[in-house]
Formats: sequence, C-alpha cells, structure tokens
Amino acid sequence: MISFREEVDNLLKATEGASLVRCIQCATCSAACPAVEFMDHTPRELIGLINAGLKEEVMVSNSFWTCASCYACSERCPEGIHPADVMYALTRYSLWKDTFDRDWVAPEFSRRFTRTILRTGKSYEPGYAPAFIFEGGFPGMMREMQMALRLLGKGRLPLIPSRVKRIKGLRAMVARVLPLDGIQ
Amino acid sequence: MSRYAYYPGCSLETMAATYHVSSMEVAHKLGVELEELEDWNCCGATAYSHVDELLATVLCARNLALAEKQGLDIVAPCNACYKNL
Repeated sequence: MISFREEVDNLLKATEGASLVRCIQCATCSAACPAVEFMDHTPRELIGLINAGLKEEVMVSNSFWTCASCYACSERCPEGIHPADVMYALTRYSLWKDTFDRDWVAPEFSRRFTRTILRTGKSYEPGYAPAFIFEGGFPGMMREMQMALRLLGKGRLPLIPSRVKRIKGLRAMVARVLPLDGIQ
Repeated sequence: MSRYAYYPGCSLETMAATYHVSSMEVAHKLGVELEELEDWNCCGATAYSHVDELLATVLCARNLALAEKQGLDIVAPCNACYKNL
C-alpha cells in the first residue's frame, strides 16, 4: 500500500513542483502566505503532516480551501516544491472523496464559478456572488452591498455578463476532457 | 514598434478596470502596441484547479491557440492569468 505522501505526490505528477519528500520544513512557504492566519495548519505544517502520513488530520484541515492561489509559496520554496499546487491537489481530492466540511464556502464557490465559465466562457461575479451574501451575517451583508454600490458607481460592476462569442467551440473543447454535467 | 496580443482577463474587464486603463497607458508610453486577443475566454486560474486540473489547462489552450492564430506573442497584466497562460 502506498503512503499518503506518495498518494499526494501522485496527484502532483503533472505539475512542475518537486516531490514533497524534498521539504526541509524551513517555513518559507508559511512566511510568504498572506492567508496563513485563517488556516488551521500553516503550509509548512500541512506538508509536515502529509509526510508523516497523518491523512485524517490533513483532510479535515481548512488550509487548502483557504489558499488564495497567489503562488507566493511556489515562487519562494528553496526546494522547488509548489505548495500552491499541493493545495489544489488536496481540494480536488476532498471533492472527489467528498470529505470537505459542508459549512465551508470555498467548495460551493468553486463549483458555481466553474459552472459560470462553462456557460459563458468568462467570469461574472454578480452571477454567483449573491449566493454567499448572507455568509457574514447582517453586518457582512451591509458591507458587501456598500462595496457593490461603490463598484457600480465607478462602472466596475457589470450588469450584463460578457460572453465568449464562439462558446460552442469552447464547450466542445471542454466536453473532450469532461462531460458537461460533470461539474455538479 | 513591438506588437503583442493583449489578454485582459475577466478581472481587468470589470472590477480591475483601472488596472486595464493604466496598462494601456504604460504600453502606449513604452511604444508597445497591444491588440486585444480576439474572443478570449477566462484563463482558468484558481477555482478550476480546485475542481479539475485538465479543465484549467483546456481553457488556457484555447487562449494560446487564438494568440497563435493572430500570429502574436501574448501579454497578460493580471498575475493569475499570466501564471496560468
């Protein structure tokens, strides 16, 4: 049976990063991470847990769904590991294995975002953001609405979604790699 | 004068419109001609990689194929778009 570290390495085979076995626990990734204060485990701790084979502890961690995808860690890792790709790999793994916490916003957001792109070819925030407006309670909702109004005032909140003209071509490409009802 | 295919990305088209304006200004001052990539689609950053890695790559491939058709190298000011392309 393969170890959890090998399992995660296998998920990373198509990426450019080095194997997690190279990690020297220097915490450069954690220091570079702008989202680390919201994570259950810092990127360094997460990689340490993976290398130690503590799968259950890793899979209940919110760290990989909290990653902001800024790639600062991947840029700076002295061992050539791409921690951001590790985060992606674990989010996909938790979707496949259905182990993510239902209370987290990020998995549902990613699905809605992806569905929007498959429909129109471009991102359209007003299309999926309102579903999450109640997440921050009443004060959060007021803040979101104030921001929306300010964006609207500056012409930065589009009212009509922009679309790819040859959407059929894009959908045909996507259908080659996954069935269009594959994103639920 | 150098010419490039310009890839604004979803953010620069809407919420980060100011970044788009300054990019165009800077390019103009530098004497770089930017021609918007025709019928581009979302770059495939972040959220797709949560769902399906190959899907993110396919979205990129379409943009790169369009740039090849236009016969130009591609420029993307958005860091996530740049990384993905």
